[in-house]
Formats: sequence, C-alpha cells, structure tokens
Amino acid sequence: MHTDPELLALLALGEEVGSEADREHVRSCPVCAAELAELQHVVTLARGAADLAMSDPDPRVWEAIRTEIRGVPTQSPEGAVDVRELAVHARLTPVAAGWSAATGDAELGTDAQGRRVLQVTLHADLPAAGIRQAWLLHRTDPSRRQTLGILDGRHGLWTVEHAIDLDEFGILDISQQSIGSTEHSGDTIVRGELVPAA
Amino acid sequence: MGARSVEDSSAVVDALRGGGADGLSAVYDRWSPLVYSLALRALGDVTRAEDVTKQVFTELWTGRGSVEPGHASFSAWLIELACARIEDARAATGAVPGASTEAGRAEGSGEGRSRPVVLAERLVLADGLSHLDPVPQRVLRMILDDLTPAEVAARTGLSVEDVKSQVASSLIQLRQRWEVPTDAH
Repeated sequence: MHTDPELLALLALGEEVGSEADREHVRSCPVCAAELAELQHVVTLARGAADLAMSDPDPRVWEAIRTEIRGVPTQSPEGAVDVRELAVHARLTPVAAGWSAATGDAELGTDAQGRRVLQVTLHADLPAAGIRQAWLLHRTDPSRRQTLGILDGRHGLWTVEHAIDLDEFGILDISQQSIGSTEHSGDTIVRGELVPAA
Repeated sequence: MGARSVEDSSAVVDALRGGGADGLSAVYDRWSPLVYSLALRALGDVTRAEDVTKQVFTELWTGRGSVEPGHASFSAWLIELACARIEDARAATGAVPGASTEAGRAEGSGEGRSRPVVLAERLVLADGLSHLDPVPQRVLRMILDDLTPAEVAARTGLSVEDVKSQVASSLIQLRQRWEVPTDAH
C-alpha cells in the first residue's frame, strides 16, 4: 500500500508530516521514492518559475495563422481536397438520446473551379445496416428539406449547387436511413447550423 | 459563447474539432504564450520565434482530425511539437545556440538534461502555476516563498489544514500537467 499522494507532496515541500512508518515506507519503496523525487523536482522548478515572465506573441502571428488556415484542406482519409476560402462551418450535435455520443463537424469551402464543397465528418458508432444521409433543412420550416447525399462511412463530400441558398437552407442534418427510402426517416444522428467561419 | 476552457487534451480536441476557427482561437489564446516564450528563449530571435509559433498552431489546426484526446497532458504534447519545430528552425539556419541565448546559458547549468528540455520544464511549470485558481495559486506562492503554513493561514484566513491540503493538491496538479519530454532523438 503506497503513500498518500498528498503526504508525498507535503514531504516534497519540506513539511514535517506523516508517521515514522510513512517515512520508512517512502525510503524503502522505489515507486514512492521516485514519485517523491519527481515532486521535489517540481518544487524546485516552481521556486524558480515564480518570477518567470511569459511573452505574448505579437497580434500579427494570429493574423498570419488565420490567413493560412482559410485555405487549408481538412485532413480526411480520402486525402486532401483542394478547398479554399473556408466560408462556413457547423458543429453537429445529437438531437435524440439514442445518439447521445455522436458528434460531427462540417466545413464548406470553394474549390479551384469555384464550386461550393461541403465536407462532413461524423464521430459516432454506426450500425452495420442502412446508410447515412445528409440533408439541408430550412432554417424556419424544417419540413422543407434538400438532399445533399449519402455519406461514405463517416465521411461525406459533396458539391453544393449555388442555387441552394444557405441563408434559407442552413441546418445540416445527418440521418440514419434504410437503403431505398426516399423520405427523411426521422432518425437524425446529428444536426447543426451552418455559420460563418471566423 | 463565453470563455472556453482548453486546459486538457479532451477540451482542446473538442474545441478544435467542433469549434471551427473560434476553437483554434481559444486554444491559441491559452497556449501561444508558452510556445512563443519557449521559442523566443531557445532561438533568441523574435521573427524565428513567431514563425515557430505560427507553424505549431497551423499544424494543430490541419492535424486536428488526428489529435488524440486521450493523451493526458496537453502541455507535454504541445511542448514536444514546439521543441521539434524549434530544432527544425535551428537546423535550417545551421545555428548553434551560443552563450548569448538562454538555451546556451542553460547548458552550462550542469543539470544533466539537454537544453530544450530545461527551458521547456521551467516554462511549463510557470505556465501551470499562473493558471492555477487564484486562491490556491497565492497560497502556493507564499509557501514557495518559505512562509510556514501557519503564517499563510494567518494571512489568508484559511485553516492550517486547508493551507496544507491546498498546497499539496496544487503541487499534484502541477505534477500531473508535467511529463518530462523524452529527448531521446
């Protein structure tokens, strides 16, 4: 039975604590002796660190990062897609208890040909049966839906025709569907609002 | 949205994967001073330190699909990445840190650990200390200034037992944030 971590911490600070039996254990047990040594090292560093000032990087560094990430493709197993000018994204969250562990994210950008490209990644345990389908729901009337397409496993990649107005159809919905069904099953895995990227 | 806590690996992964550029901004606000300070002290040059900082956070963003939330200490992971980019920056210019940089002075300390590790340790600790909650932080700083628990109790109105318990808990927290970066390259 090893020494209580709080006791070791106080010993590392030089406090007179613990029984003789405790101190004997720390002397003879390699695990506790090593932990005590590590804590003593942290104390030494902490004494020296109390006056150590951190420097903030100049705001231009963040600006440079923002510029850089706007044109950067999301990593996906299919390989990078040349998506530029990241415009819109969505954080996808579950709406029903059965999918409570699921999440997803989506990013909409423009490819080299000027087409809008939507990439979706699901983080969920998926059943072996059926397929997953992506929809754009109308922001104020969710009974109005536009199909986007079928996911390939946990990933989806589709062009979004410019005629689809994301100010109207701005809710991304991923549903569990049976193969061959044309209507939304009502079984949404995750959903999220498309919002402008910072 | 409110301030987002991005202290540990799962919070960082959550922010990066779900939060878009806002998520990266929160991670950057919290962690860039540590990366930048390390790069600045190691390289001795503002422009190169800024480049390393930009590289590290851009990489964090582009690789966010593969960041592991299970890695217990985010600061240790981040420092390892920062040290690698700092070494790349050194190799690119053929520069060897001389006595004029803090890295060079640290080598003379004879602590038996290599230069980037010594710097990283001190900065990770300072960063951890400054991000403890205000009251425990103040209590720990007083103990490190060699006040006794009784003196700290008198100054703060806490009981001696609470002082000891807080100090121990803070130290354990700092210890857990800390993993010695392996310099076995």
